[in-house]
Amino acid sequence: MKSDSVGDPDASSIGQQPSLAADPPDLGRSAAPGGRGRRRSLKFAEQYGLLVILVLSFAVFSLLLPDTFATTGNIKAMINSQAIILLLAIAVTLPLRSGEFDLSIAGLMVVGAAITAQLTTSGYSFWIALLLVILLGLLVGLINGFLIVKVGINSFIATLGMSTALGGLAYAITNNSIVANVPEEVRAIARAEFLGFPAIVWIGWILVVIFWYVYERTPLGRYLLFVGGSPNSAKLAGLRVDRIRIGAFVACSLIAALSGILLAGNIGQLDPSVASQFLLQPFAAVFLGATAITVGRFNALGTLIALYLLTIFVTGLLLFGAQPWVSDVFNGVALVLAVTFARLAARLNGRA
Amino acid sequence: MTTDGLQITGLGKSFGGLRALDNVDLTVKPGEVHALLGQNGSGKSTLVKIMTGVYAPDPGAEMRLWGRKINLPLTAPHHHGIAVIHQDLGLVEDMTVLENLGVTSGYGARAIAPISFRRERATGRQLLKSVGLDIDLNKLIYELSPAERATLALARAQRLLQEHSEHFVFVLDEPTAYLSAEDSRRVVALMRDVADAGSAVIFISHRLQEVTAVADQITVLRDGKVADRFAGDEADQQRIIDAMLGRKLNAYYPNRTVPAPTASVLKVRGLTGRRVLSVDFEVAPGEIVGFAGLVGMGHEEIPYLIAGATPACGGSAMFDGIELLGQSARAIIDRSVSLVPGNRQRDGVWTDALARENLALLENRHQLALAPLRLSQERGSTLSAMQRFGVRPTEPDHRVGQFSGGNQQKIVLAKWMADSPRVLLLDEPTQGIDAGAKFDVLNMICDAAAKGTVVLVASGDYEQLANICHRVFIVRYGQLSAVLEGEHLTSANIARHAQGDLREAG
Ligand SMILES: Nc1ncnc2c1ncn2[C@@H]1O[C@H](COP(=O)(O)OP(=O)(O)OP(=O)(O)O)[C@@H](O)[C@H]1O
Ligand SMILES: [Mg+2]
Repeated sequence: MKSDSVGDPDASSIGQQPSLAADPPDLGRSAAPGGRGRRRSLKFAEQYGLLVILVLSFAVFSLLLPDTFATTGNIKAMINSQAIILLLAIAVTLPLRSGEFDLSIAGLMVVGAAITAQLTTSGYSFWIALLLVILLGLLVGLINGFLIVKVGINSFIATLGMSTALGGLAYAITNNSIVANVPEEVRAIARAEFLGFPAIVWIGWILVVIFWYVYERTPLGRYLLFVGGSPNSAKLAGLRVDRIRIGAFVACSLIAALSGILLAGNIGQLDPSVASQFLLQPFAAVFLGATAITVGRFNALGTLIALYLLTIFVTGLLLFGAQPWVSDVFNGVALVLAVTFARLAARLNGRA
Repeated sequence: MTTDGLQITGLGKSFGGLRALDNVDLTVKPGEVHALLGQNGSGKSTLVKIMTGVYAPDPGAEMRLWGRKINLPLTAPHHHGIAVIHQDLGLVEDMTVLENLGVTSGYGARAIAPISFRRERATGRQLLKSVGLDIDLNKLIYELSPAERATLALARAQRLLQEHSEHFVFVLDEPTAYLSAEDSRRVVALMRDVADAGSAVIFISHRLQEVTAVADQITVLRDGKVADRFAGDEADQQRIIDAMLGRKLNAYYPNRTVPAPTASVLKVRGLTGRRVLSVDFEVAPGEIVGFAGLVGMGHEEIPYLIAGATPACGGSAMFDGIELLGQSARAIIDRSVSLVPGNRQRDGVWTDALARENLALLENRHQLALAPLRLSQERGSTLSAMQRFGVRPTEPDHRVGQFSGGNQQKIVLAKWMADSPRVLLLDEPTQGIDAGAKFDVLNMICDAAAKGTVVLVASGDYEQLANICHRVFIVRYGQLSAVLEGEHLTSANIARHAQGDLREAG
């Protein structure tokens, strides 16, 4: 929203600023000396800066901690530990791209996990659990979408409420206790190994590829942005604005709910209180990720890079002997820094 | 050393490789209305944005206000006595009229002292009255028409000027682009008053009649450099245009072809919206029909109602025997009906997206939402559309917001006129477009009509309506009060009828 309107006519909220492809030649005007070269390297730094930091930080920690950090075991552990977060992060890019928050993802995932764990341990078929989880995802997505798009409730508030309600529901389903001994059948879905990584990791990576394609290469990826950025012009261009916005919530909720199955399978048990551990990190990754690749837009590859960057730092610091609370502080700070950084980058480009 | 109100020297600004301003000097004396003119993209708004600290200039520039040197980049322009109406007006979309009137003056209260709402309302009402605007103070900016917004921005600037007795530098970046002749006359009169009270006024406009009427001094920019300067009384439109374009412009308006008399294809009956009440008219293929009126009389609502962008309350609009009203925007586009909206920042384009993304949006409807985009084809067709409509720079990969105001408008036109619509609904189609490009745009509109397109155009530019339309309807208090055609179709007559003066102009 515009704040100080007189002095700041171009102020826009989060730096929604695309940068794609190479610069076509400037027509008409003479170039300032060195201007083009500088501009191109600036653009490169913007797009790939985060990736460079990722590689550098990996190299530095590897040099400092050759025996603990730079081991195959640790690398695998880092990747595996982020598998669930990656799923949620990718899911939440959908509503974020269309200009809305969804804070209910973590709660929804835990309810999905609770249903799976509770049903399968009590002898019901996995397929019944799957069906219920899908229905749950659809229902929550539709309710969120309806409240936000049709009723017009602020998405932050609506999904915060939903998140809290789902948190309670998880306790109800599990009778306030940890559900242990999830059957092997369910565990296999998350843990089946392929080329050294469990299925849950591969599913995340496949989602990244699919969402990269959807966001960067299809009309739908653009529709999502237009619907969030300029609902009026989108509507006049014939987009079904409400349907797209609700669809984003439904798809996000479906992924979050299905992630619950993987969560239950991955750990083999379910503690209904874990939701809060999964809320901030996906957002930190997504916002930090928007400062890379397609700069200023929530995107899939950037999210992946940002997530792994955060993990490298947190793991590195922990291996140096930092206390576990460092992880929360670090992710929280990263989220705020990411948003600040996006603003500054936008200003550098003469947009604010 | 000097008493000059505003003195800028050596001002330059580059965006990446593009030199938007190059060593510009500008002096505006107190009591002077100084017109800053130039083609679209010549750097006028960039200069204004530097004056308000939105952009930092390149090193080497100097700015003096009332003889005092000001540090650049500028912070807190109001403290230096700089009041600006930006090209995009700078109103806060989801706040009310009243709130917007207050923001720049701190609601007449100190930061944490309570705002007196009663006093605010009284001030608000009085301000609106002084600019002749009759709207509810609780309305959201979002709901206002472009002309109402422009007038509101003016009222707000006026408040700022009233509240500070010292002398001001008052900058108006195309305040009249959306206004009718009478409403812009009020703006011009206000500028004169402010200047006469000792302030320095900078005025940007593409409407040269206004400029020659009010300007004491004229500076013409071309490609970011000062191309010419002259005193207001030495200026005539021809000279200004030559300096702006760097070439001669042979005609201001294209020749309109007379459509062969055929049966009407667009039949509007009892059309009723928020402002217009039970309007009837018919249009034949190839006809260009204009709608004119004062701000708030409803003429600008008609294209929106027919396009389904504002829901109609009643009536019917049959095109080729098919009802248009009550259909979705999507269905209307599929009938090959295009609306070029007057509010381009809100309805026309998304300024944060690339030019090609905006232009391809309509094209994308023909493919599946998950089918791959054909990016090279998209770049190619955007490039050719941009060339056809004279968008500068011809860069499909720039954000729309990076283009100058007039070039953004050309992008909107290119988007909606690209696949030769059968009905073209235009609201203030040439707003912000310079004289040279205006001819080209109008020519394209006339060409489309010559090929059988039905064209409806709502505009406050009476001269333009008189020159391109075959018929012009005057809208007063929501009703068609007159229709002008043939020899009666002159800008003077449109103005008279719009004001409700029923005598014919001599
Ligand atoms: N933020 C930006 N990034 C890149 N280029 C920009 C930016 N803002 C303006 N420009 C470029 O600077 C040039 C001057 O633009 P400016 O808006 O000052 O033109 P103008 O004279 O106001 O034109 P108009 O009459 O169309 O409003 C244009 O070529 C424009 O594309
Ligand atoms: Mg401008």
